[in-house]
Amino acid sequence: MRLMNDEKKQDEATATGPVVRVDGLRRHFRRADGAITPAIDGVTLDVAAGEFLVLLGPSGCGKTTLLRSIAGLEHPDAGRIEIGGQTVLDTAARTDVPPERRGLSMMFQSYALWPHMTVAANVAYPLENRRAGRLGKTEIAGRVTEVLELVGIPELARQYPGEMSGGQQQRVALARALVAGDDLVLFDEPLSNVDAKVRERLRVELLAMQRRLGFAAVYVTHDQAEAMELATRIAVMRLGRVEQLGPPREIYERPATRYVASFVGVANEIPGTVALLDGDRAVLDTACGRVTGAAGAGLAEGDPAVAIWRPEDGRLHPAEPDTANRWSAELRISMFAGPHTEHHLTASGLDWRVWSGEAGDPGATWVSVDPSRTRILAADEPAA
Amino acid sequence: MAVNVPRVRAWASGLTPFTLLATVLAVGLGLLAVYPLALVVTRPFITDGRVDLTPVRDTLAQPDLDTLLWHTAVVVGASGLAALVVGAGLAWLNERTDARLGLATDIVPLVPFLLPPIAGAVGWALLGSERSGYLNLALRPLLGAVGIDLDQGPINIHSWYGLIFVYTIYQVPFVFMIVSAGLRNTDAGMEEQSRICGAGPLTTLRRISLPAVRPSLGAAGLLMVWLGFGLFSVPTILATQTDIDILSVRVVQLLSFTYPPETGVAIGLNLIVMLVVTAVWYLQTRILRSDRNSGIGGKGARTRPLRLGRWRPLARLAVLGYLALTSILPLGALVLVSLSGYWSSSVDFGALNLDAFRRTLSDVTTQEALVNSLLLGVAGATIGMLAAAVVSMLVRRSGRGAGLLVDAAIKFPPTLSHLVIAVGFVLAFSGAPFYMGGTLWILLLAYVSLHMPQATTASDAAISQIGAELTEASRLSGAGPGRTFRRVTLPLMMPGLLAGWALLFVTIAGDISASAILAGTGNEVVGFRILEVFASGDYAMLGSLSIMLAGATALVVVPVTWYARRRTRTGTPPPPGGRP
Repeated sequence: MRLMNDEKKQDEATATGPVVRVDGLRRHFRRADGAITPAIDGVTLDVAAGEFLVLLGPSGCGKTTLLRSIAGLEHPDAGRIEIGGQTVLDTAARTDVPPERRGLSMMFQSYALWPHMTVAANVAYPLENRRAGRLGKTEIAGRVTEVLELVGIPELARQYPGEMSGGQQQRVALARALVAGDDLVLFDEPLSNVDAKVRERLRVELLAMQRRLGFAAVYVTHDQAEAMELATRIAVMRLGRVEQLGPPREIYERPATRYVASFVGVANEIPGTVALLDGDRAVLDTACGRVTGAAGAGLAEGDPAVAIWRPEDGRLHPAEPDTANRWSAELRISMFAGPHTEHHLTASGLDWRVWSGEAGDPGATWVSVDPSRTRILAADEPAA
Repeated sequence: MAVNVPRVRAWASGLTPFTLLATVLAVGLGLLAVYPLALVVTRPFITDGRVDLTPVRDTLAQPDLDTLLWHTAVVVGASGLAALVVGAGLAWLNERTDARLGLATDIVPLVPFLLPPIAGAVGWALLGSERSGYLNLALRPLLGAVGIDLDQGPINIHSWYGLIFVYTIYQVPFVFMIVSAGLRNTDAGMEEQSRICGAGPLTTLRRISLPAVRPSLGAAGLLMVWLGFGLFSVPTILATQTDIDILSVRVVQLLSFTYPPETGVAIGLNLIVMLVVTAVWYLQTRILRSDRNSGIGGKGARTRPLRLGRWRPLARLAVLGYLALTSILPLGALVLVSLSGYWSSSVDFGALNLDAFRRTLSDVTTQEALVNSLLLGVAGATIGMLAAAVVSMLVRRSGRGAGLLVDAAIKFPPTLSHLVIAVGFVLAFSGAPFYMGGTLWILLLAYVSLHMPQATTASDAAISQIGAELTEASRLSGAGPGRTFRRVTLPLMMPGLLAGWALLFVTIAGDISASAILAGTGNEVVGFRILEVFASGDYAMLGSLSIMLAGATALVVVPVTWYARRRTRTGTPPPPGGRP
């Protein structure tokens, strides 16, 4: 059974290269008024075997269109897609393999469970359709039981989807996506319709299952916390392009652009002009004085730029500290959030947030940030 | 989520034998609808390869053209308006007030199907004829008791008001269905908000509810014009004994009861109807366009119905009264005349017998007609609904462009007068190379083609409730388009398709307008048989035949509708967040 031969499968896949290869993909939509807008604007990326790639971005960034293009539900205008070494899309050669022959699974945002079939019938369906290695009735039933146990709902096999809670429906959808044992499983915001507690638990289970079964996952979400927890790599998307592609820690700690920094996590900003550029260090002239930090790409002296730091890197001081990057500020309000207290500050017309363990009193205060935890990035548009 | 996805080019990837077959089917249906119409519109104007405008001249030279058009317009207009008011009122009572009756919700839309309009018209002729109408027989002694002595009347159904009345009661269910759906899709919260803003029930109705369902009212109004001009059963029974000239009756006279048939003039008359319908259709699209942004919520949340207080019994009485007028009274008249054996100005309740039923059932031609009609009903409804399901699926997959064109080709022609299209079928299929004239095949073809608008409307509604992701998930599970259609789309559409099937079965089995032109002694059907019996004046046989038709359709429709509704109720709600 393929479900059980996880390690072997992972080895094979690693030997034969990436599970998905997307090359120069473009897709345009014509709006109702006739204007043509790009939904995917030249995306190139690979997904390695066993990898968990998260496509992250706000509404309209093209992440779902990209996922649906990989699935074969969307028909791009240009580009190539390979799945498991097979070309499934090549617009130049007019190749466009229909979804049912791409050998992948997908979990939909709406779960897309067929209301007229029982849970068991829903889960058995992919097995009944796959041509290669067709299974007998008893084998299919065995596999269905096995996968329902895996997702923790063996007792629901004879129920109809309409008789179950949202969380249970989600597990059925997951079981259906996993049952065929495909090397690639696509997820289109599958956790956005359940409440926070269930979502957290399913996230952990999903990740454990993915590690155990070894499939490559491509996962679309607009929730940056979810993306960080799940991903081995995140592709932050913006207006149909991949803005930055890397492991979650890199995305969070070394965002390539102001857009990525402000979309992933909370970013405090200080705008200014690049005064000095020294290797990977930059000094910025700002309304708050000089700010030193690690320089991003594409900066030149005299350019407008933004210094960016994370709330947890800010330190509050009652008196002026003796460090670089220290600014006088006004503490407006402090909110206790459990793990930390969120302090809202204003300085030179800028709003900042600082997370720290101690309580704070409204009034004048000092903030400092270690220059190694400060990034100087080109002043393009932030995420909305 | 991201971008709303037009699936314009979805064909390209999925050109499997199934999609090919489906496309051929859709295009074939389109041709079947367009070709006869094209023939009918062009044939009379082309003689020996030259354009000949004689029919236009003949049509315009009809001596009584202006009275014909005027009479028809008055009847269609007045009954359409009345049906709009009554139908919308009933719908509002049922959807928004505590006068709602579960029973009425289920029955009112089925009325014209349980008792076909032709039977209803015969029933009303029996009830309301001046001299010996049953209602008059019952009313006169009552009036005599208060000192008013009459030889005839007080009711005369063979009159302007009688004709408009019967037109109206058989148009109401269509308005009721459309406006009910519109109200159900309109968030009642808007009305509650209006009440909270200080507007009374009547102001709310006028300022909020009615404008919100304006698209539905527009659609219903258009349907009234279409159906009104095409309605043949009611005027052929009720108007022929008056000096009221109705266009549909004249057309059939010109085609079937004039020798040689004056096809040119008949078509010329119908071209006038086409012009009117097109003008109304244009008006309707204008109304709909200006209303595109009216806030119709998708959820249709159940809210507390409006309390009518002391008006409530009165409102309920109105609903029940409507049911009595459309079904119970005419049915009673039909039963009474059948059991009496003949129609006379006195009813001898001691001498009631089943002779008329025996006579009807042992009549060979009638037997043949009954069997043929039921067979054609089953076959036509089944073929029509399956084809409609495939077409709806294709149109939805292809989005804009070619799909819509085919859809329009299938839907638009049959909305013109059935009589004209029927003539087109005669021109197209009765001679070489098909030689279908006088066979059941030409009836089957015509019935299916004529009822595609109803069929595709039902299947479009059924498919629109299936989230796109449900079929996409099937494709990703390795099922091709054919398998996906069979295993996922079709089963999910089933309740809607069954309801559509019932509607098609009833209208086909009881069809009278196309049958008046296409049926004959070789391919006898009930509708045609009813016309023959009516012409012979055998009211007892007419009554028993109508009752048998109503009984047979009820036997088929009630279980199917019941099953379809049950399936819809127990059927699982669509999962949350599904993209439409």
